[in-house]
This record gives sequence, C-alpha cells and structure tokens, in this order.
Amino acid sequence: MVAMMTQMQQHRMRVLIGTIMAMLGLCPVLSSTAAAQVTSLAAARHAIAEPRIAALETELSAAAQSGATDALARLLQNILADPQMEPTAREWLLDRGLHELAQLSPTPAARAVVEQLALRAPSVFVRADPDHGSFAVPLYDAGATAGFVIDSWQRAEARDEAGAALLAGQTSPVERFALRAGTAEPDPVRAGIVDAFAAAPVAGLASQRETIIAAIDQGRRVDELALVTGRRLGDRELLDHVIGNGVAPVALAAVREVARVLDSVAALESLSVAGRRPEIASTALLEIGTLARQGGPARDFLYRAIDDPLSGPSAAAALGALHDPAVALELGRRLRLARTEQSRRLLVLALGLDGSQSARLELQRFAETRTGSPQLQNVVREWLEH
Amino acid sequence: MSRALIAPLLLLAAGPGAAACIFDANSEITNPFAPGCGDVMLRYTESDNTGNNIAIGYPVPAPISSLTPVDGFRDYASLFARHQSLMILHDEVAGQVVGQTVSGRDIWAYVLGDMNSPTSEGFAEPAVLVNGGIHARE
Repeated sequence: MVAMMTQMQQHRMRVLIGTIMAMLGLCPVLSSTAAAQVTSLAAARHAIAEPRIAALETELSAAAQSGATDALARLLQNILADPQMEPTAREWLLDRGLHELAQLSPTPAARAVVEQLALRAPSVFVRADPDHGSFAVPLYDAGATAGFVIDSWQRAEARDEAGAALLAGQTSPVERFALRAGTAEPDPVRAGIVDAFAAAPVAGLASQRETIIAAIDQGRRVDELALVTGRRLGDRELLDHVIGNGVAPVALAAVREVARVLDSVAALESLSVAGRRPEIASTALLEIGTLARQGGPARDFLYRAIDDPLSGPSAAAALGALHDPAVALELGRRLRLARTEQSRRLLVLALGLDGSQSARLELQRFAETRTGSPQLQNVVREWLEH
Repeated sequence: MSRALIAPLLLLAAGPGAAACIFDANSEITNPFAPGCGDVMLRYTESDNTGNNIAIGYPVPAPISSLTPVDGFRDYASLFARHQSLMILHDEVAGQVVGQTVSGRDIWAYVLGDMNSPTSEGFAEPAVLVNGGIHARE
C-alpha cells in the first residue's frame, strides 16, 4: 500500500503517526537523524535566537538572494550533518532554507537534498494551545516543507512548459491537463498549466477555446482551464459549461466570476441557470444580489425567487444585503399583501437581515398588524428589541 | 505546511514586530493589543513565504457566500442568514440575542426542540450545547 501512496500521502501518514506518538508521550525515533522531543515556546525562541543560528539563517538568505542554489543546498547538508546543533534550531533552519529553495530553479544537488528531507518526520513538538489540552503538535516540519518545495518546482516546470506551448499556438497543454484528471489532488502539474493559462496573452488563449470546448464535449475534465479561459476572454459559453457541468468547487468559482466578467444581462441569465443547480444555487442567488444593487431585472428576479420554498431564503438574504430603503419599502408592501405564512416568513427574513432603519420600520408595521403566526410575531419582536 | 500548522507560534517565536510583545513566564503575550504587538498581521499565501506571508502550499481557502453547505468555508453573513432562516422557517428553532461580542456584534443563541422542559415521564429533557461560529474561518 505504501508503494501506491504519493510522496505527500506518505508524509502525511508519518506526521500523523509521529503526532499520535508524541501525544502519547512516547517520543519515538521516527527518522534516522533525529529523535522526537517536546519543547516549550520559550526554549524554542531561545534556541533560534542564538547568534550562531541567526548567522546561519542570514547565510541561507544571502545564498538564496544571490541565486546560489548549490551553495544553499550545501548549507542545508551541513546543518543536517552537524551533531552539535540544538534540534529545534536545526529544524528551524531546515525549514527556512527549504522555503528559500522553493523560490529558485532546482539543480541536481538541490533536488537531492530536498528529496532526502522530504522523508524527514517531525522531531520537535510543542504543546501550544491550551484550548486543545496537552496535545503536542509539530513545531517545525521540514519534511512537509520539502514536499512543498518539490511541488513548487513541478508546478513551475509545468507552467513554463505550458506557457511556451501556448505562445507557439500548440494545444498540448489542454491534452496534458485532461490526461492528468483524476490524479492526486492537489496536482502541481495541473496547477502549473492553469498558471500558464492565467498568464498567457489573451490572443493566444482565444486559439485554445475550441480545443477546450471539444474536450468538454468529449466528457473530459478540463473545468479549471475552461474557467480561467472563460474569465480572461469574458466568454459566456465557457463559463456556462463550467456552471452547468463542472465539478462543484470549480462551478462555484465560475459563479463568482460571472458578475465580474459578463455584462449584467448575460450575467443574470447565467446566474439564473446556476440557481437551478443545487450545489451552487445559493451562491448564484447571492451573486444576483450584487447585480441587484443597480435595481432592474436582477432585483425583480429576487422578488420572484423569494416566494420559492427552495430559493426563498437565499433570495431573502440577497435582498436584505442590499440595505436599500426602496427594497425595504417594497418588501413591506409585499408583506402586507402576503396571504400565506411561508411568504410572510421569507419576507420578514429579508427585512430582518436588512436590519436598517427602513427595514425595522416595516417590521414594526407588520408587528402592529398582528398577522402571521405567534411564532413569527415572536421573532419579529426579538429583532425589534435589538 | 509546517508553518501553517504553527502560525500562532510563529507570531510568538519569530513574527516581525514581535519584539514589542511582552511575554510572561509561560510564553503568553501579556500586551496583545499594544502597538507593535497586536497589530502584527500574518497573511496566508499559497507559496509566498517572505516577510509576514506564510506559504501553506495550496490555494488559500476564500470564504464563499452560500446559505447551503459547500466544499469550503462560508462567510459570516451567509452563515448568519442560514441560522436566521432556520429560526424563522421552523417553529422548533427559537433564537434570542444573549450578548454582544467585543466588536459589537449580537451573539445569538438558538434552541432546537419542542421547548418542553420535562419529558412525558416528568423527567427533565436531556440537552446538548453546541457552540460554533466562534473561531474566524472555521
């Protein structure tokens, strides 16, 4: 099973085991280089403030700033090999040096030390948060940081490769992205390709559009590319593809882009469609609320939606968030005309969430009518008292 | 990322400006609202670990406006709207303001149940307290 795990999954398992063992007070030897220990914040602060340690950190930063990747890698090897170094200081320096390496292009020497460090389990723990009992948690985790460095390098390589392909008018990045669908999440290669699409000249992206739509039509997962391309081109068709068929997190992101990149008429149409997909419906209605700041069709849409049992609460929240006296007046008018308890409750919800002086006035009027159920009147009373 | 796990510790251990903080024997900050101490703001980023930024190695979760559950964090306004809608649409949910936060926000308590204090046998009904919406972005 271990052989089938990704490097990050293996690392997470080591961290989990290490943390559990530290919580049990067993402090196991989890790596060949360092035994686990539980320290205090004061001791940790003292350890990393030592002049020799501060000087080494300065040296790491200087190597990074001058782009001396191999020198930085050598420094990390020396820190690893120093038996006299205080363990907390060692883990701190390794973490700092690794973060510096993440910003540089890898060399064979750097890759070697990072891959070695990626196998490192946390060895310094601290009981940091009294809210969570006396559990010890990793203070520094060089292994996780090394995993981050490897991912950063993979992402940068994928970004540069895809960027060059896009400039050359090639569609291979879309193909590569689609082929990697279903791989471990998050996938640095896919993220790098998305980075390239986000940075490519708009003219170059236009030539990718048909390839992306063809991939979608074939049922291939290129949601993130459709989103970034649709956003940058202001392309409603691509955004609608994502809203209608993309995985929920990407579809949610598309919903949040629509009002920003499409004109208000097209945005309302797209968001209306999104309002029929349960996983994203509430967000879509709240986004329609942003369009409704200018009044017009978006506001009328929300007035209609508030009568719907499913979309009503979100429409009420969207209208309440406008804090517009004209909206409060209209909600109050509708409340006086409402014939069902459900309608009254949703209209009262919108006024209560508004909370402005105008909305409170409408709620006061409603309270004086003594219509609606006793429970509803109680809620209104609670709101008016605060 | 390790630094994401220990962000509060970094603020104590090595955060820029931490020198203005005064620590007690237990390493607790005794002047968290003092200029130069409490105003240190650390920012989570996906990959930038410079200055006051902390790289977490994956896209920083951004709050999403939604009354219904989503894959991620929801923002305060939509969570609050959700709670209020449950209260107003369901008679078995009652709510009242029980205080204010230091920022002046109302603290709402909701009671879920039929409001009968004794059971049909005359015993007090068991109750469970759930608190939430306390820690930012959780």
